Amino acid sequence: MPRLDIVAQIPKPKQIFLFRSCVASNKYPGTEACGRETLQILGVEPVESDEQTCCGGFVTFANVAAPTASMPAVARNLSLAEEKGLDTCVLCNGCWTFLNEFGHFMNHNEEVKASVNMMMNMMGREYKGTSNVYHIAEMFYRLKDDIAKNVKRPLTGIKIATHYGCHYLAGGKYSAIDDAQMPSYLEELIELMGGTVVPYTANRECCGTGFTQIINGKDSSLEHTQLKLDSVKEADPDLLVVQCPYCHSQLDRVQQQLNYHNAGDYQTPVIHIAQLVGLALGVAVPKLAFAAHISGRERLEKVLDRVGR
Amino acid sequence: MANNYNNYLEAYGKETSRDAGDRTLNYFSELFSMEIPMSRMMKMMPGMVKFMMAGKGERDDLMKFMPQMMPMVKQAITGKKEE
Amino acid sequence: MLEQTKDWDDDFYEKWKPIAMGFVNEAQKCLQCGKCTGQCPAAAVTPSYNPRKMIRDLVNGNIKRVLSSVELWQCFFCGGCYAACPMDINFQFFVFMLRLAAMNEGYGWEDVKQLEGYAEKDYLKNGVTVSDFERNPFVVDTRGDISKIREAAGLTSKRQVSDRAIAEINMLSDLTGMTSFMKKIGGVELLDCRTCTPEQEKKCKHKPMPSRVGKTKTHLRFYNYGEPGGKKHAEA
Repeated sequence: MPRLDIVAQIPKPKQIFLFRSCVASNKYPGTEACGRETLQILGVEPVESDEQTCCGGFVTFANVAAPTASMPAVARNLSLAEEKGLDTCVLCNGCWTFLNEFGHFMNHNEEVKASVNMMMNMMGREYKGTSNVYHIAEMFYRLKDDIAKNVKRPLTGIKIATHYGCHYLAGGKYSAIDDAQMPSYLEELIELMGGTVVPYTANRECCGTGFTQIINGKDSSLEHTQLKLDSVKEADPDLLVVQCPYCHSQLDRVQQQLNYHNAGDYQTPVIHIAQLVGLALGVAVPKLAFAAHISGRERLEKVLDRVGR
Repeated sequence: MANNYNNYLEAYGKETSRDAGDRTLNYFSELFSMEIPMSRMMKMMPGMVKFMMAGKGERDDLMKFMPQMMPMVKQAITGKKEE
Repeated sequence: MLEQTKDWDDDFYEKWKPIAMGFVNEAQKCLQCGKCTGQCPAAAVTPSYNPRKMIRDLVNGNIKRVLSSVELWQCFFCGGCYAACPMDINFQFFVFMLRLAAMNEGYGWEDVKQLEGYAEKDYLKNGVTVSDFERNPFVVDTRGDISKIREAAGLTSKRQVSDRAIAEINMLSDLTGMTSFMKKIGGVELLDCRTCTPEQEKKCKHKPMPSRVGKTKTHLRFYNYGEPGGKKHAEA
């Protein structure tokens, strides 16, 4: 059951700062395009900026940068939204935790904030800590009435499984809009759009990327993803919905790698929640950018045929 | 394989966990220190110069910061805080 | 073999508390319930990885065992331990801090070396950590050129980050010492696996090993928390 008190605190803004994500931009552009389009349809104007860089989460958790080094980068990105007086809407769980956690830390530690602001001042910026960070799935849940009104392609008869991603629910143990162990808001959104939710055993398992494990601990990463994909395959959904581009990239690409190593036949299309909402709200097919997806391309086409192009 | 998970005792030799712990804590206190001594100030200079060379807008912004910077430089040189 | 008494330090954790800007919260509250290990994805595939034991060692001050372990580098950073913890111990941040400490002791550089390129070639150069470059030829065959897909989706053919933004993050990197830290990692010379002795080979995870990083001598890490598990070792 979602925490309705936290949901109620999310405003319904006229404009929001759309924070681009590296993986969503460079591997699955549909996520970025759909995030933009869906927010527009729901009456929130997304504002983007070329000044915005990567959140710095990967570099930090790869231990290439100490937290002291990435804190100013977080402050810089948040100050871009503050300049415009907007809240921030992110597409990626990693960005969400990282901006939230470090922003929270700076807001509650005046000494650190002053030291970060000294560096901000050098480039003519200031970090005040007034921009709240919201995940796009949170925004969808907040705007679910508008979604229900605007459904153009009902997802009738499409079987959909969900994957929430660790860095939203676990990282936001107290600030996420749902419980870390038994979340249900994505299911609610799917049913709202006419889809059928398929439960599977390993729903709460990590996707297996393990931040850096996919690069330097590949065996354990692939092994864990296989655990997850076996369970997904058993439930056999038409779509697997994720809310994090990094989970998306792992679950989508590892299927191909496992097929290549003859570890099984995995053909489940994986899509981002922004793309699913975009699909239901009638965003043009090229803007969904399903062409960038690797696994289950034929099944993805079939889904498109069923809901109408 | 059986002996494989206790050799860290040999690797550290006669050092106790207190030595390793002290080293670690020193490292952290240096890493998270808010003070800007002269050595750290010197390390910051190349970055600022590079930023200044990047363009006109950057140079102007950095110049605006200079008055704020002076007391910090003084403090770093003399090593005491001005009140 | 049990740890020798001198390896335990009673007041290590007392001293640890005020450091690290409060990132690392109260490990001394740990109940040793093991919920963290129970739900851990890393423990599911590499059984010797055990967050509960690592917290115990940290609180009891057996820092040598934690820092020199291979297990420290097997964490997935999923935060499930924090979500499951009844005492709200944010263990993933402990791992993060302990990895930095381990690097200071000379452990784990070979892992970080593989990641440094992302910071240097992508983050600081383009402002984006994950670039559009594909290592896997199958991916390129399947979906074609990503810039065409981006254009069809109504986006610019390449993700735009302004020059000003890149100059800014580069300055921040210089100011905070990230650049010099990266130089230290980048300057690592990796030993060749072919020159590795059989004894080293047994211990190391079949990875090239740097010999010296700056003034720090680098070391091989050990499986300090039990038999290394996982499929690879089960077959062997």
